[in-house]
Parts: sequence; structure tokens; C-alpha cells
Amino acid sequence: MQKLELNRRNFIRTTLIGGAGLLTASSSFANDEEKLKSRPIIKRKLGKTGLELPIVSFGVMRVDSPALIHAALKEGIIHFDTAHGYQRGKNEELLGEILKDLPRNSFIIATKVQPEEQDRTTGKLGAASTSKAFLEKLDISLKRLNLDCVDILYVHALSTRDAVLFPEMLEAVTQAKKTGKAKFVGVSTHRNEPEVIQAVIDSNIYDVVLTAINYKQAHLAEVKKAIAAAAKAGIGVIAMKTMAGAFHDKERTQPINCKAALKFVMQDENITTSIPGIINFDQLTENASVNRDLTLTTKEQADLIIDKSQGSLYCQQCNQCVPNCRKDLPIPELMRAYMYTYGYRDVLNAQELIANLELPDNPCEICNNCKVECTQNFQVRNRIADVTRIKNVPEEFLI
Amino acid sequence: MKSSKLFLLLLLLQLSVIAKNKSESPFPLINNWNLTVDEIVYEPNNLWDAINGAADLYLEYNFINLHIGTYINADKIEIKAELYRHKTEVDAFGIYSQERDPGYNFIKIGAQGYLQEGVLNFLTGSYYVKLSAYQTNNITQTALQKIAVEIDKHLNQTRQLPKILQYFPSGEKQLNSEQYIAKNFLGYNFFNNAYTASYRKEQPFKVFIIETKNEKEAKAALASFIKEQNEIVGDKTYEVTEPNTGIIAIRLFKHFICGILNCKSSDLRNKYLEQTIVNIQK
Repeated sequence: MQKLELNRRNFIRTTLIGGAGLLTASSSFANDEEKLKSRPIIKRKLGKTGLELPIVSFGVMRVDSPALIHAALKEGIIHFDTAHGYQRGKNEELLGEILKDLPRNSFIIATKVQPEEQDRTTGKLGAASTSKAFLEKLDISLKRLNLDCVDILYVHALSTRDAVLFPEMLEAVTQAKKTGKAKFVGVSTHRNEPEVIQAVIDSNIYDVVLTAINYKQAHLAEVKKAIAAAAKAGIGVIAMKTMAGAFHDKERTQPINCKAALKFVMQDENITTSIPGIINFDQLTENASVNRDLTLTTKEQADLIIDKSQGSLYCQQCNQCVPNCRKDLPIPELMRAYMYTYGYRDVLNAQELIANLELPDNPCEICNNCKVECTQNFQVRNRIADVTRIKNVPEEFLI
Repeated sequence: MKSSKLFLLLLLLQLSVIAKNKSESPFPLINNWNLTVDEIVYEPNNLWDAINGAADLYLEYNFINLHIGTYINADKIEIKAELYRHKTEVDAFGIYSQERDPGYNFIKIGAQGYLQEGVLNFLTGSYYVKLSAYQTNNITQTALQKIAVEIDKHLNQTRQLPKILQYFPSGEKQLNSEQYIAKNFLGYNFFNNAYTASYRKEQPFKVFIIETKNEKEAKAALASFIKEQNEIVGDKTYEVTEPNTGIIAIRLFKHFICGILNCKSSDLRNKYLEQTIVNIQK
């Protein structure tokens, strides 16, 4: 049998199980870790629910290792977020299996159930989105999770006020609470968040909102304003998508500074916790460290600023540029065509899109006073000049 | 002016092949069914809009795009078809395997598929195809199968499961329990491209095979694993006990790392490891 040298993870594990004295931490890295561990976990209250949660929780979506969940619990992470639909229910089953032997009061479980019928484009709920169908799914989720009751039950992925206030959904979550199957109820949203959050406040039924928020959002100021209003109204606010996709590029080769992005969001004290996905021990270590130290270092701040100023190929379709164009050009569509051409190398799609817009060749050419400003700092005029040229590429070259 | 010409030339040369592929819709036209195709084609940057938090897992498996269409017939039977295209056939198998369960009703379609109430999902080449119906009755179940066959034919992909699945010992293996985990197997960022299969219903355990690029990479990954452990025994087959995973037995063979998870019997561990290696050698 061989004993192995101290390493980063062993150090974390050993200190977690109270055996730090068995090993001697000699490196400065270990000393830094020790210092961090001596700090208390930062916790915040989740609105009026009375729950107090560490600022970093755990989105379980991509986990395949029970050891990772247990390691998270030892790190002080207690809130786990899953959904009825993840992996056709296998995600809930995995979590249920892992947590079944633990005291019920040692963890907080949140799951999300999607209304039966929802238009992906408009966000409208259809007639099949009944309370009955929703509650049947909840029963299935509870069975998978080996639980009688979830701590937080969300109506999943709503994007309009009407959907939030859809009578059948209000009835469903009210029933779920009344029958003791959910302690608290909420809504999750990653589109049109300010409107959704305001509807949650106005409902007087929901306790929590799980919202997308990150440093790259074009409408970040509006999202933060809505969050502040929710917090003031006693609604618990939980953040997701804090890492803005985790990569700069479509090919996922250029990672962003995820820790900085997470810290950035959690600077807002109106947000109780966040649910980043964690898939390995190193990520767990990194995210858990934010629970004890939320300070953005100079480098982290710089990384976020550089990221924002760089912009990217991907137009967020925020439409804020449109009123400033003197030629009333459909800029979001043109930026989409630019993205197809240079990002996805899909010129045919770009050409079709531009042809449908029925624009003259280089529509910016005769305008010398461009007032357009992009929230992502795109050089819009240059991009339009570049991309509209593909309109004249002979079709035979593309077939 | 020069740069404009260069741009145009590069564009034409580089993209004519892509354009050819692009000209065909991934959806077949089917007699007596009216097809509506969603305008939006979801890609990695907006998959969230289509499937919310589930998108993260799809991205792990090199998701390329998602086309969505709806077939409706004169009897108002409505079938939604979602075509998830991934970079490789193994990627598509990976995401498919994450969502299938050995207890499902498997049917012969594509490389493999299953039919549940109002749902038919199948794997064909680098596509993971998901069909669903609002109504659930015998007529819709039949309709799901008809449309699946047409889509499979139209996509015209290879219809095979990854070859590496053949390396798992048959023994007490649960049928259709194999999974492919692209990254971070067991939570370790150096364990990627892992295949697992489940064995036995009573006192279950798993066999895993990690395929690396070459022997050097396999050795490095194993060394990283060993370094992470507090205590480890063995020299050829390494064994470690993790409180929440159980015993992990692990052995290097060429560019493969083979192992057994949570099997209490040392005889069984050895037997299945040996058999796995024999199968790889065949």
C-alpha cells in the first residue's frame, strides 16, 4: 500500500473530514487554502421564505458522480437544483439516490416542472397546460427524488407576464403548497426576465424567482432593477446562467473567467444564491471558494472589462441600436447574417436572409452620419458593409 | 479593393461544399402529412431558448444544431420532430445514452430507438431524433413509428452503435445500459471519453472503459488519478475506496483505461477486468 503526497484536492477533502492535523500543509498554496477555509460561508436570506442559503449553490444538470454531490455538501453547499425534464428524469433519479440516506434537513432541493404546452417563440401557454398535468409531473418528480416534498418548485422557463399569471399554473402551485408537496413555489426565466420578475411580484403567490443574469447581458441594468424590486417585495431571487455560456466562441475553445463572472453577479445583495453547473472537483473547489470570498480581484475585474469591450460575433438582438439608424436598417437581422457568415460559415443562410431584406448594395454607403451605437461595441457600419456584399455572390457558386 | 476581392474569393472557395449540404431540408415530406418547419434553427448560442437548462448537457456532446418541425395529418394528429445534430456519431450516442433507460421499450429504428407513450426517440448517425405527440393512443403510437422511419430514411446516416460497446463483457450486463460520458467522468477533468455499462440488478456495479488518444495520454490520466487518492493499493490493477462511489478498480491497457465501480467481490472485479481486456484484444 502506498501513501500519496498532499495535493490540492486531498487537502480540501482532508480538512473537510476534520483530519487536517494528519497532514502537514507546507506550500503557500495550502496556506492560502487554509486562510480561505477559516472564513465563514457567506449566506443570504431567500426573501420571505426564511431559508438561509450560501451564495453559491449547485446546478446538478451534468453530474454523474455521487462523490461530487457529497463533496459539495462537505463544502457547505446545501441547495441542489434539478428539473423534471433533465435527462428524461434520470437527473432527478440520480439526485434522489444520492440524497436518500441523508437527513432531510441537511439539504434543499429545487426542481422545475414545465407547463405541458408552451409556444417556444411567443412564450404563450396553451390549453394543455393544465394544473392537473403539472401536478402529475410533480408527483413523478417527487417519486424520482425519493421525497414527499421539494423545498422549491418552479414553473419552468416562463418568458411572459401572461404565462406567469396563467390561471392553471397559479392553481397548480397553490395546490402543490397546500398539499405539502412544495414548501415554496417560484418561476424560472431566461428570456424577457424583467417582465417575468414583475409578474412574479404582482402574483402574490410565488415566493421565488430563478432568473438568468450575467455580466454580458445587454439588458443587465433592467434585470437588476427588476431583481431589486422583487427583493423589496420579499421575493427570493436566485441567479442562473451567471457564466454567460462559459465560452467566448461557438467552438467553445476560449473560456471566460467563470469565477469572476460568478462573483460579479453575486455582488448584488438582492440575489440570494446562484446555481452554476458543476461537473468536476476543480470546478467545485473554485465555485465553493466564492462562498467564502466574494471579492473581485484586480485581475478578475480586468478580465470582465476586457470581455465586455471585446464584444463577439453574436448579436444579442436587443434592438437598442435600431432607433438610431437614419436609414431604418434592420440591423439585428444584418448582424445575424454577419454571424452566419463569419461565425458559422453558413453563407447560403446569410445570403437568403439578406435577400429577403431587399436592401440596396452597401446600404450605409450614402450615409455619412452614423449614430448607431451597439451595446456590445460592434462596429455596426463596417459589419454591414462586409456582410451585404454576399448578396451579389452568384448563386451557382453556392449550390 | 484588393481585400474585398480576396474576401469574396475565400468565401466562394470555402463555402460551396457547406452550401450544398445546406440546400436539403433535414425533414422529409411525407404523404398525407403536412409539415411545418420552425424558422429558428437552434445553435449552441441559443439552445437555451429551446430546451432551457438541459442545453448544458447537449453542449458537452458537441451539439451543432437543432431543427424543429411539426407534422399534422387530416385527423389532426400532431407529431413534433426535433432533430439534434452533433459533431460525431459518438457524440450523438452520448446524449442519446444520457436520456435512455434500460427499462424502455426498444424498437428497431436507426442505430437504436425506443417507443414510450407519446414519445419515440432514436439515434441515427450523428443525429439524435426526438418525436413526440400531444395525444397518446394507438393511432399516435403508429404515427410516431411511421414518421420515424421516414426521417431515418431521409437523413440516411450510418446506423451503428459505437464499436467500443462490444468490449464490455456480456455476463450479467443490463441490456441497453451503456452510456458514453464525454467529459469529467467521476468528476475528474482528466477522465474523458468514458463508456460505462451496468451489471446486475442486485448489488449492481459498473464496468467502464476510457479511450484516450494514445498510451502516453492514458498513462498520464492514470497517474493523475493515482495522485488524487489518499490511499491506493496495487501496482497493475489499482484499487481505491471512495466513500460515496465504493471500490474503484482500475487498470491500464494500451490506450484504454478499464475499471470497475462499486463491485465488492475481488473475484468479480478481476474477472470482468480480464474479460474487458480480452475483448479489446480481439
